Amino acid sequence: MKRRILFAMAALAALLNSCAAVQPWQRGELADPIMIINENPVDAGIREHYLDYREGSVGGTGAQSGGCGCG
Amino acid sequence: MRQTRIRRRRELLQRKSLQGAVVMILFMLLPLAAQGQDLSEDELQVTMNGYFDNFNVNIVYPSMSFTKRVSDSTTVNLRYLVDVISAASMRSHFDVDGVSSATPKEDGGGDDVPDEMRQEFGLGFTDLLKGGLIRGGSFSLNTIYSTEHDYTSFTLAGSFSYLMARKNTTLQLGVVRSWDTVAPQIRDWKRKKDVYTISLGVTQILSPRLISQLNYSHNQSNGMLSDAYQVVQIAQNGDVTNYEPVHPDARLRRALGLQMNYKAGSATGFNFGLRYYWDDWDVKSLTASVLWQRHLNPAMTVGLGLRHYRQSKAFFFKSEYLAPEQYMTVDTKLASGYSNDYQLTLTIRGGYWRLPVLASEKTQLNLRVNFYHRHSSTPDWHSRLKDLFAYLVSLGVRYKF
Repeated sequence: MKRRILFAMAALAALLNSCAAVQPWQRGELADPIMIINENPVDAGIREHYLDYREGSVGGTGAQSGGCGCG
Repeated sequence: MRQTRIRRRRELLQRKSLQGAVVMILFMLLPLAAQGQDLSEDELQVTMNGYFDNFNVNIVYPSMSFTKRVSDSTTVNLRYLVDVISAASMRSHFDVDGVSSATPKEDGGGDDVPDEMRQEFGLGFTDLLKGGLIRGGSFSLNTIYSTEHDYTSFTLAGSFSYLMARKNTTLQLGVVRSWDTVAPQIRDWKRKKDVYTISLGVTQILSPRLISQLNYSHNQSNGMLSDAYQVVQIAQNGDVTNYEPVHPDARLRRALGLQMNYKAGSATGFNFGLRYYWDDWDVKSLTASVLWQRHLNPAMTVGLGLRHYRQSKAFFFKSEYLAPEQYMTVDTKLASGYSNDYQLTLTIRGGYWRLPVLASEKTQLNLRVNFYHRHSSTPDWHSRLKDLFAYLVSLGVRYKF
């Protein structure tokens, strides 16, 4: 499993870096708030917190929550 | 002898291929050139959140977050959150809520009196690194302290991010350490829980309309990992005996997540997410999500989201225990099952309205409503229900100054 995941990551890294660089003047659409990944970290943390407490999985999303947590 | 040699050679090849994959990733990422980063804007965010479910758990949790630039290269942020839990606890004959583990305070009681309150304080800073070998990076350090009458948690989180390839690629490295103390009021002991998390992320601009983020997290928890308020009931010889749940005292949890944002046209965006999770308790899960967002006009954006989650059970989870075992649990989080989360978001920007709150263009109003359904293969230990239905409402104001 480890091997598969690392190779998948390697393949993805290769794919990502094979892309042509996007110039600053071409990033107008990417600056739109709906295109920003984790645009509101506070809200993402709150949402992650209630899911962590009701499901058996955690991590892999980039958001972070803390505390014991019922909410 | 020959077979041993073949096995050793195979192991060596496997190890080399692992090392090769890691080197390959580093080789492809390192030659890219570093670029400068930007700091986030000064902002005050106040949010009121509510959670209500069919297990009679009601939670209201307001939060406040403040970010301020204190120099050309540094911002500080403060955060405060309160969980106020009501209703469920007093209706339980265990004096504890089976879902949230909320317990009544000594002076609590009655359906209109909050049974439990948790407070969370956060303090942190972000600093742009302007010199030396890591010029072009930024460093953040955050602390979170969470306290309630039977639980305290202190978290220290450090992260480093590095922009490369003319700002097309961002590498992120995060390290989180938590020190928790559990002191259940129905037990006469106090136990520790320690959590270490390392996370790695790569954000990549793929085209003028497509951006992706890959995240890997490695989480090690040690100590008190069970919920002391839950009860394992075992029927033997006509008598029912209550036992404390016993979980292994260590858990290694790993997750790999991929997010992709795509802009379709001038006003529509799609966010796709996929996550695979696995741990050494044999819980494996897959999460898939999609969020569609559209600008209705310059002042208003609407979003619709769907998240599906599916997991397998922990190796020691059983729907029924016939005799005490080394590990026992009734925790629904460790049972197999699935969940669906439906989301509606509405963002209203200020400057286009006559309302006092929205008069300034620096103000933004955010509304989020979620409908969450979780189905588990085994009924919940306390409510005896297999299906949890919950509504979540969040209303927030962001003010950028």
